[in-house]
Amino acid sequence: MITRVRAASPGKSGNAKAGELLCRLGHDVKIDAATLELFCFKQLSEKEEDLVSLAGVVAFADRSVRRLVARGWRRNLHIVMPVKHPEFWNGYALRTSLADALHFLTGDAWTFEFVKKTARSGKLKQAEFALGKGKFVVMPFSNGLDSFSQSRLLSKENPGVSAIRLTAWNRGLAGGRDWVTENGIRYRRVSVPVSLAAGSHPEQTFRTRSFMFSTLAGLAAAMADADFIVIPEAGQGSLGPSLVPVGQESPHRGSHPKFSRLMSEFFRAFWGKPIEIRHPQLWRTKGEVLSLLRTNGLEQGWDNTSSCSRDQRVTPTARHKRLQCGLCSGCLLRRMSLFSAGFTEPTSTYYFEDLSASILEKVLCSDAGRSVSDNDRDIAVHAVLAMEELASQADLPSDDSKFLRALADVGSESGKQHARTENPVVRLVHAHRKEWRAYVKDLGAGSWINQQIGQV
Amino acid sequence: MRDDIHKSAPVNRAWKSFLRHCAREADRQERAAASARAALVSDCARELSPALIKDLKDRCTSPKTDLFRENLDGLRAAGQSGSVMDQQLVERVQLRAQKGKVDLNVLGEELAGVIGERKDSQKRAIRGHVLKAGGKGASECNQAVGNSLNQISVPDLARDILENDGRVSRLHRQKRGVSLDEDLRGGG
Repeated sequence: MITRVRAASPGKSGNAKAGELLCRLGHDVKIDAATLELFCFKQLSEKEEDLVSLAGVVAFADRSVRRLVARGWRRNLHIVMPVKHPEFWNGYALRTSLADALHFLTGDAWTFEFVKKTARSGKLKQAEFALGKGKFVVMPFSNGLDSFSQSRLLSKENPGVSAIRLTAWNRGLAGGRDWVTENGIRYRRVSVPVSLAAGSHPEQTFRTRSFMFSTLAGLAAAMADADFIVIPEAGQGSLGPSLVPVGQESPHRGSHPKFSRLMSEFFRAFWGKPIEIRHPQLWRTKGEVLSLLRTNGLEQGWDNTSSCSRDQRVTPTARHKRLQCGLCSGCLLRRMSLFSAGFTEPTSTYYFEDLSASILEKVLCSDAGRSVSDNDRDIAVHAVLAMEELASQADLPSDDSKFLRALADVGSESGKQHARTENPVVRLVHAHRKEWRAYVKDLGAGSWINQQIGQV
Repeated sequence: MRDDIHKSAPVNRAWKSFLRHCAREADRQERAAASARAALVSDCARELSPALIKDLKDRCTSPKTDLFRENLDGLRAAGQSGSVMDQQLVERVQLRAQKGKVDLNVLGEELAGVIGERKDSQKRAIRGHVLKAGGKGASECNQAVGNSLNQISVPDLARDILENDGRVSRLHRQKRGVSLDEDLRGGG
C-alpha cells in the first residue's frame, strides 16, 4: 500500500485527494526564518529554500505514517511537493539520489513528485551573517563526548580551519543564537530551523532525523564553501547499531558512512559540486578517541559534555541540578568509554549513580525525586543488551559475511586500504568487547548489569 | 514473570505465540520449537517476495554470464521496493556477484544468511522484552527462546524456499507425518 503525502504551500489550503495525507507548510511544518537566516552566509536560492522545506516534509511523512508490526517494517511513501523549479527537482540524478539516501536510511520505499509552486516564499534577510575569510568545515555538534573530542582534534590537526557547528538546541552550550563559545574561542553556529506538528502519537522510529541534519549540514557547507563536513561519531555509534538490528527493523544507519556517501551524491546532484562527508573516528571506539584526546593533551573541558538523550524532567532531585540519567544507551556508552580511557567522573553526574548496586532501586541517587519506573527499566535493559550484543559479535569468525558486508558498505578509500590487511570492523567489535568486559567486570559480579547479562 | 508477557511484546502474532510457549514451562519442550519455526516461516512468507526469488533463481540458472552485474537497475528496484528481507537478499547477492559467479548454491547461502539474521534480530527483540519484565522464570524463558531458535535448520529452510520458488506459504501447510500403521483403535 502506498501512502501519498501532499505538501501544500504556506497560505494554501491544499487539495488533498481521498486517501492522501496533507502536510501544510507553515502549519504542520514550520520553517523558522530567523534560524534559517543564520545559514545565509551567501544569498540563499529558491531551490535551497525548497530543499529545507523538503527536509521538513520528509520528516513530517516519516513521523505521521505509523509502522504497523503486523505489516512489517517497510512503508511505501509517495511525496507530492510543490517547488519553484519542478524541472530541476524532477531530474533523474537528483530524484534517484534522494530516494536512494532515504531508502538506505529508513528501509522504506520513497518516491517523489515535484509540482509547480504557485505561492510566493517569505523573504529572508539575506547575507546577514558574513563569515569572513578563512577555511571552514561543518560539524554536527551535540555537545556529547564525540563532538567535543572531534572538535578538539580537528583544531589541532587543522589549525587554520574553523568549524561551523550545526546544533539541535543550546542545552549546555555557552554562547548565543549564532555563536557558541568553547575555551574562550567563538565558533559560528547554525541550528535546525524546522519544527513539526506530527500529531499526538507520532511514529517513534523517526529515522529521517539524520536526513534533516545531513541536509542542513550540506546547506551550511555549500553556503560557506566549506572544505568538508565532519561526522564526529566514533565507530560504535556509526556502525554498531547496523550490526545488531532488533526485531523486524531495518538496520539503524543514522551515522553510517554509506548514508553519508549517498547524501554526498545527492548534494552533488543538487549543487553540481561534491561536498565530502568525513568520518575521522569511524574505526575507533569512543574510549580510543578519548585516549587519543588525552595523549594529545586536549581533554580539558570534557566534563562539561552531556551524552544523555533523556529529558531533564525525568531526573528530578533535591539538588535541582541537571543530571544525566546514567542508564540509557548514550550514558552507558559514555561511562564505559570514560572508564576505558582512564577518565574519572564523579558518580553524582548521574541520576542512576551506582551501577555496581544489585537492584535498580539501589542504583538511584540518594536525593532522587521519584522511584524507578517501567520506562527506566525498559531503557536500561535495552541499553545493556545493545552493548552486550555488539560485544558478542566478536565471537563470530573474522571472515563472517556480516563483517565483509559492513566493510563493503563503508566503501571508502580507508575501507579499501584496511581490506588488504585486517578488517577494521572486526577490530572495532573486538575493541568494544574488550572495553565492555573490563567495565562490567569492574562493576562486580553481583551488579544489576551483570545479572542482566547472565540472563541472556 | 507474568503469564501474559507475550501480549505486550513488540513482535507480530506468530512471534507472540512463540514467546507464549517459551514462557510456559509445559510448552517449552515441544511446542516452542515448532512455533519458533512457524514464526520464522511467517516472516519469510511476508517479507520474501516470490517474484524476487524467481528472478534471482533465473539469473543463477541462465546460460548468460554476469546477469547480476547487467540490468542492475531492475534488481536495485526490486530491492528498494521490497521488504527488509528482500532488500538484504539483494544487497548480499550483489556483493557476492562482485566477487564471482552467483549460482544456486551461493543464492541458497545468502538466503540462509538473511533468514539467520532475522532469527537473531527477533531473538534480540524477545529477549529484551523478557528481561524488561524480569521476575521468576525470565532466565528460563530466555533460555528456551535461544534453544528453540537454535533447533531450526536455517539452510534447510532456505533450500525449501528456493525449491518452492519463494512461495513460502506452502511451508506453512507442512503436515505432521501420519503413520499408516497407526493403531486407531487405541490400546496396544
